[in-house]
Amino acid sequence: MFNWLTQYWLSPKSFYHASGRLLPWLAFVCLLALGYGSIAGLFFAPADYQQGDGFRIMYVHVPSAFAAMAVYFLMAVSALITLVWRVKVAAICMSVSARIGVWFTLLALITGSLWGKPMWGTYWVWDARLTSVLILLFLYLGFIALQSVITDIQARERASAILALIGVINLPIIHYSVIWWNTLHQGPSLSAFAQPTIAAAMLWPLLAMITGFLLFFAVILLWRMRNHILLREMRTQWVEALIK
Amino acid sequence: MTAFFNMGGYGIWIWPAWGVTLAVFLINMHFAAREKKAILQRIRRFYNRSPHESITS
Amino acid sequence: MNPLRRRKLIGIVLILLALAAAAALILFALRQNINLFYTPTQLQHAHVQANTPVRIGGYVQKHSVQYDASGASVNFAITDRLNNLRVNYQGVLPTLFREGQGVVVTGHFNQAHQFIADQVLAKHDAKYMPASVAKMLAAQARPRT
Repeated sequence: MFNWLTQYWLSPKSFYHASGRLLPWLAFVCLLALGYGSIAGLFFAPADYQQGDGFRIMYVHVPSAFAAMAVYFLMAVSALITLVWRVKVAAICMSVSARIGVWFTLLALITGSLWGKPMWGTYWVWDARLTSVLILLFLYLGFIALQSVITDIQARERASAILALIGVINLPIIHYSVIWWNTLHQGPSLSAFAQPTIAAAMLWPLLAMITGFLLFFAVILLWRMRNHILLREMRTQWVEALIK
Repeated sequence: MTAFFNMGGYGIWIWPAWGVTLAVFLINMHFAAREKKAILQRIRRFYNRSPHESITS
Repeated sequence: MNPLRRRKLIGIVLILLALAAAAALILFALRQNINLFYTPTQLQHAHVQANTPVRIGGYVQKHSVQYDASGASVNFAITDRLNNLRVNYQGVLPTLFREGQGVVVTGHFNQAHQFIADQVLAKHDAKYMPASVAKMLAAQARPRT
């Protein structure tokens, strides 16, 4: 079963073709989700009882923070597959994910500090949540730096996959930091197991934005993975046929 | 309209946050497009230069 | 799964478990340093010297906020519902500062054991609702006499 998966579906060639068919649909739904989320979040969601209109930063902050962590998780899973099964597509997915995830992390930090200044009274505080997300940014940057200094492809992928896997320990720390320690950052507002603490009219745009961010990631990921597949498979007949 | 952009005084925080988000999205799209162009160019150059001796994997 | 891959997978999982255990031990050992602030109750067990910087977090006690005549300085109590601490502060308060609100203050104790804050930060919770709903809930919560 797994061999069939790796050899057929995860072969660079079939992945290239399958992702090419999927991409326009993903882009379309992504546009819908982001369009609805932005308009509803900026215009129609009612102002918060405590933060007034200031809470509208949530619609870009929460999705980017969520995406930063989800992308790292995907990167770590790809790293595991790269190390154990040596699937070429997984190695490419890992490398490309890092180069997108780092942007979401940066975005989460910037939008967070733009939210922190008016609400908390400070751009930055060294509490456990903010610090652990900063560490996530450094993990991404470290991964990219490590990849850029090793020239041999095999060695580069093995070394960076190990780094990606070590860093996965940071994910539960980020998530539970606001529960384990006293922080300035508030507790989680969305959880799979609890009633949301956000009113419905404010919640739907947020869910749409989260979906939109993840789909945007998927679009850029597939787009860039396809680029790298072509580069890697440059000397094969199917790429030659495709180019001509 | 002004009231909308003012956002109850929070506009100076909200608009930069949304603006930087838009910028990051555009940068990511730009990088992907630029990368595609560069890689296609490189492959075309490869095939135009070398006479046919492609290796099938 | 072929034996080589299985061995690799088990090896990776074991290494990750060991790292997770190491991380957990380090974080547990450092837990007091990772906490951003003391609550008033924790503060009683921590022996804080005069003039050393310290952060304290809790809620602004209801009816405790007193502005001085000039309006430049404010005095209020921070509570964790078990213990209180009075805080003196001169400066600009964040917009979210109000009675009942979570705050984190940075400052020091002077020789007279009064707490002098240099910075007051407001903490907000993860509840978001429209003002109209909040008003309705508050009306419902008020005891009927």
